[in-house]
Parts: sequence; C-alpha cells; structure tokens
Amino acid sequence: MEESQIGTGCTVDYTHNPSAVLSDLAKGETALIERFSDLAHVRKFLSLGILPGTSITVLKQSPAVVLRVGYSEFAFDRRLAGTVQVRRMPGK
Amino acid sequence: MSNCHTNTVETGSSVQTAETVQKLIICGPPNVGKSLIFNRLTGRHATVSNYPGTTVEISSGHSALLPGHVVSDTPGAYSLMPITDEERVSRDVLMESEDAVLLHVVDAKNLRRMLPMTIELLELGRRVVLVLNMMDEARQLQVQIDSTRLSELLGIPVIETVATSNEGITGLCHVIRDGIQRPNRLTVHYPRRIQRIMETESGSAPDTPMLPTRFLASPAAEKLTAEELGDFELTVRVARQEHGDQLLGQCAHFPPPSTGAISGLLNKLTMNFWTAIPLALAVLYFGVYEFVGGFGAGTLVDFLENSVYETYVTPFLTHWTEKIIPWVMIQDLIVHDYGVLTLGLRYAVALILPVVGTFFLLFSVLEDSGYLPRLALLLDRLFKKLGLNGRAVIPIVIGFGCGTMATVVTRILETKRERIIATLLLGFAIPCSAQLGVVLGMLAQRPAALVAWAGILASIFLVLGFITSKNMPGEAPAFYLEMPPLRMPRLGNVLTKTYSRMHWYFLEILPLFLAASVIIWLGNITGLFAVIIAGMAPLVKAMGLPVEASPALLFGFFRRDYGAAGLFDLQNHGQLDARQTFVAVLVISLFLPCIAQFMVMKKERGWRFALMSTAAILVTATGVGLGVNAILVKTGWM
Repeated sequence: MEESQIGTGCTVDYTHNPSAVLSDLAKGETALIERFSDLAHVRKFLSLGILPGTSITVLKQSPAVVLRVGYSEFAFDRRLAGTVQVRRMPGK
Repeated sequence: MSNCHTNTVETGSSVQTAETVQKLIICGPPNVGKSLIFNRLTGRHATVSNYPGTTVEISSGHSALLPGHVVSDTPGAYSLMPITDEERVSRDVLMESEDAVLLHVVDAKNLRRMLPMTIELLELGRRVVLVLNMMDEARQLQVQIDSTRLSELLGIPVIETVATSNEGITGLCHVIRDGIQRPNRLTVHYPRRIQRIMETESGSAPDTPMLPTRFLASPAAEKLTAEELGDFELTVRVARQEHGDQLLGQCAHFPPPSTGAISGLLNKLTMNFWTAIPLALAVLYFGVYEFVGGFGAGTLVDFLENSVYETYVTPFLTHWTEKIIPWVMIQDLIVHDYGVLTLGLRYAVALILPVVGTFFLLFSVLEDSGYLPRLALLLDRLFKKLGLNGRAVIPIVIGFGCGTMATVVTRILETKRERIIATLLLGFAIPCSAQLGVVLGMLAQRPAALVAWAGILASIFLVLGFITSKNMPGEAPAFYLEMPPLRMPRLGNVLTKTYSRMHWYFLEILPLFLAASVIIWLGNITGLFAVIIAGMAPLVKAMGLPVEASPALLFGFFRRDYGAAGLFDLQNHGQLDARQTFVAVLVISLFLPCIAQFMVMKKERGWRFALMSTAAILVTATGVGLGVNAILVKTGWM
C-alpha cells in the first residue's frame, strides 16, 4: 500500500519536511502532493486522478514536467507544475 | 416505458421482447481498454488507441454476445466532473440513462486512482459492474486485488479481464446476462462545508440530502467562481478517495511503484529534446515522405491508376457505355473526361484511396505505439506560442490524414479559444493526406521545391497561429496529459483501425466524389462552368498558370483533393512546367477546405465562423499564389 495520509486537501503542515513546488524538484526526487495553490487549475489534476496525498516521482523537468504517479506517467507544463505544493520524501 | 423492466431481468430468463432492450454503457478513464471491451461485446471496430481521446463521439451497437443488449462506448473520464466537451458528453449520457447498466472499466493496477468514480456512480444509485481490465499488467507488477471481497464491499459485481486476449469477457457476459440488481445507495461522508455550499447556491431547504455530482450538473453550480468550483471539487474528490482507500485497505495490496528513472532506451530517446527532434524528423521522412509519398502516392497510385484503371477499367467502361447508351450527353455523365465512373470513381479509388490508406496505416502504428503523447510533450512549448497546447498535436497530425476528422477531434481541446485556433489552422495550413500525396507526387522530382513548399506552409501555420493567439482574448492554454507506455503496436489492431478509418473515409468521400462528377457534368452541359472558368481566367493567368488549371481549381471547391488530383492529371500530361506546378500546388494546398470539412466547421463552430474563415482562406490562397508567382518570375528561380 502506498503509505499516503490523505488530508482534507487544504491544510498544510509547514513545520516539518521542507516544502517545495513541483517544478522545483530535481529529476528522480520523490514527494507527496500537499496542496494546489491555484484552485482555478485544480480540476486539471483531478481530471487525471491526482489528489493531495498522492506520492509522485519526478522523471523529467524539461521540456515539461513528467511524473510517475502510481504505475502511470503524466506530463504537465511548468506553469501548472508551479501550482502544486509538495513535501519532499527522503529518497533511497 | 423503459423503467419497468429494471426488476424483470431474471436469472436464466431467455425470453426477451423487443421492448426490453437493456442499455449497457461503458465508462471509465481514458486509455484503459474501454473501446476494446466495446469491440469484444459488439464485434465492431471502434477505434482503439494508445492515447487518450479517441472516442470523441458516443458509439453504440447491438451486442453480438448479449442478445437484447445495446452497448455504448463513452469518451474517457475520471469522474463526472467534466472539463472538455467530450467529457461533458460522457457526463450527460451517464446522468441521463437511469436504467442503463454501467460497465465501469478501470486499469486494475491503477485501481486506487480510478475507484473514486465507481463510488461516484454508486452514490447516484446506478447499477454498476466494475471491470478490472489489464489484469495481466497488474499481475506482472504483483498487484493483489481480492475481487470477491471488493465485490462484497461495494455490493456490485467485480470482474477481472484482459480485453486484449479476451480473458474474462465470457464471465462478464454471464454476469450481465444473469441480471444486475440495483445496489444499495452508497453514502460518502463529505465535510459539512460541502453540504452548506450546495444548500446556499441551490437555495434548497437545509438538510435536504443532495449529491455533489447532481449539484455540479445543475445550473446552481454555474454561480461558483473557478476557484470556488476547484475547491469544491477537490474536497469532494478527496472524500471519495478516502472512502475508496478505506475499502481497498481491506482487499488489495499495491507494491510501491519503482522510483527509478525513465525506463527503456526508446522511451528515453522519445522524451529527450535533442534526440526526439531527429527522431520526429526521421518519422516524418520515412513515414510520410517515403511511405505515404513514395509508396502510397507513387508506387500504389501508379499501379492502380495506370496498370489497372487506365489499362483495363476505363477502356472497358467506355466501350460498354458507348455501346449500350446512344446519347453522347449521357455517355459523358458516365464515362469520358468528367464521367462519374472514369473521373469520380477513378479519383476516389485509384488516386486518393491508396494515399489515405497508407497515411492511416502509418497513423495507426504511431498512435498504438504511444508515440503521439511524446510528440505532444515535445511540441508543447512551440504550440503554446500559437495559443495551443501540446495536446493539439493529435488533431493537427490527424489533419494530415483528413481535415474533416481532425476538426471533429478538436473537441479534445479544453478551451473554446484553442478549438477555434486549431480549427483555423486545420483549414488554412494543414494539407490532408490526399492533397499531400498528390503534392509529394508532383514535387517529388525537385526536393528544393518540396522544401520551399513545406517552408511556406509551415510559415503560414506559425504566423497565423501566432497572430490569432496574440489577438484573441481568453485563458492561456495549459498542458497536462497521460504518457502511456511505449508499446509494440499489435498488427491485428493496427489493421483493424486502418480498415475502420478507411471505411469511414470511403463512405464519406465516395458520394462526394460522385456528386462532384455529376455537378461538373451539369455545369458543363449548362455552360455554367464555362462562364465561371472564363471569369477565373484573368486570376489564373495572373498566377502564371495555364487556363487548363482553372477547372482543377474550381473543382477544388468541391474537394481540395479533387482539385489536387486534377492538377496531378495535368502535370502527368505535361501541361504544367516547374514554376506553374509549384504555384498550383501551393494554391491548392492552401485552398478551401473540402465541402465535408466546411460542413464540420459549420457544425462545430457555427455558420459565421465557417463562412468567414472560408473567405479568408480563399483570399490568402490567391494572394500567396499571386505573390509567389511574381517572385518566381522576377528572380527566375524556377
């Protein structure tokens, strides 16, 4: 099971783990989606089944951000990726 | 009438009257095998592809395996909250058909992400069968799903299938045939806030139970701002996800996905900018130039046109028509220069079909391999400058096959602005495969002219997109797309798709070709065309073209490719020199969309848009023709 703790989608815990936005992560980094800062664009993520609490791995940052989510891969342009706040997870 | 049979479908009952036709609706996210399951159940060929967004229209058919059932396939969606027009189509169909049995098809390995929609359907109290498709891939990843337990938890049948190898389809049919009971309505606990928003916006009495899905489909939801709507949907989705996770915790285990880099050399090559560009050019060269242009428009057309049609068919038809029918006027309708059989049918079968066929074959291979989403990723930044996003490569690439089909496919684009820009670009600067084949054939001997032609068209494409996007108000486009795995295309599937697309195309164009022949014949005998052609003559001459090119240009109004084929004919008979060929080819490439594309433009975008863009296209094509001819004459380049 993915050990994802799904919150209400809007609460952020800034006290622990360093927060970042999706477009800041390095290739190969794994993170947990915390919240979407631009609610006008949130439906685009929802339409792919990507929610807060989802664990993602960044596969590429250019020409667009490519993520692995579960066993699938998704691409987002950098502007959209910039609206996603994530919590970095310790890598291997 | 139809809501009385819900409880009458009994186990083992074999008596089915015509009135108790059971509707089955296939729904679920994109790219999980819905169309393949549709094909398995109906024995038809819906187009199955390895990219999201093929099913733009709802296709329905009687089930071959399940007598008395009608199956419909819907465009992919992860929920009943639509973003694009095609998702709205799915939502409306699913909300309206209360009595249908819904086959919710999901990719088993991604069940966690997809189960919330099953929950949403069960909240609505619908009869649902959950189909866990692609079980082979799930097993390979050691995903464990206890489907019996899941079935108990949800109160609905849960069927494991591998649609590609037909596994589980018989079981699915058995379950459906035995009758699907209406399950207990499922209740999801939403935060209090959600209930409050729904009550405030719809003005209903407090504590009236309301479902978010129904609320979102109601006019009340339109009062919410984009942010409020986003917040609402997010909260609802999170609650459903929690509900689903809680169920899956009791019956499924998903090993953590690999955290490694992009796997596979080819996958890497298609996603890296510096390797992907040469790869795309190679696909263009070998696929379009060599295969469609060289083999389709060259070898195949030569063979069909010269070795078969002109050697056997035309003399045969002419001989017998002249023998049987004494009136020359009627003979002219059937055979001779503009005859239905010797012109209309010949163009359709011997000139256009091989070109379109080879293009669709190439396209099917590309789409099944999963290459197109990678091309979308690669071109996203360029397309953003044109007011589009990477996803628009799908209609644009289809446009190189058939502009009519492509105009329909613009529905996969999210905003009206993007759909308008894409429709315009398709009308102006994307030659369809039939034109392309003819153009490649006509310019094949002079690579420099071919490059110049492509350059001019590409410039018009870019400039037009750039200007439109600068001047048209609206939201900036956003790019988000699933990247399906690269797969080796399956021969059977590729052939099936090519066949069904050719079938569609042929049914679409053959009547138009034949009708065009008849209109041309009418125009000729009434003398109307002579008048129009005489009127066109100064313009045609100003472009440096022989007067004989006028009919081809005029007939191009009925179909661009029809006109293109006419020019091809002229060139074959040595009536066009190098410069004339170039100018003529350029004008016909930019020329009016064919009647069918015009009709679709009207249908999708309205009369005003269709007429205005058609006028703009005519002016541009003529202007470019005049300009290029003037330059060529002055410089003496050709």
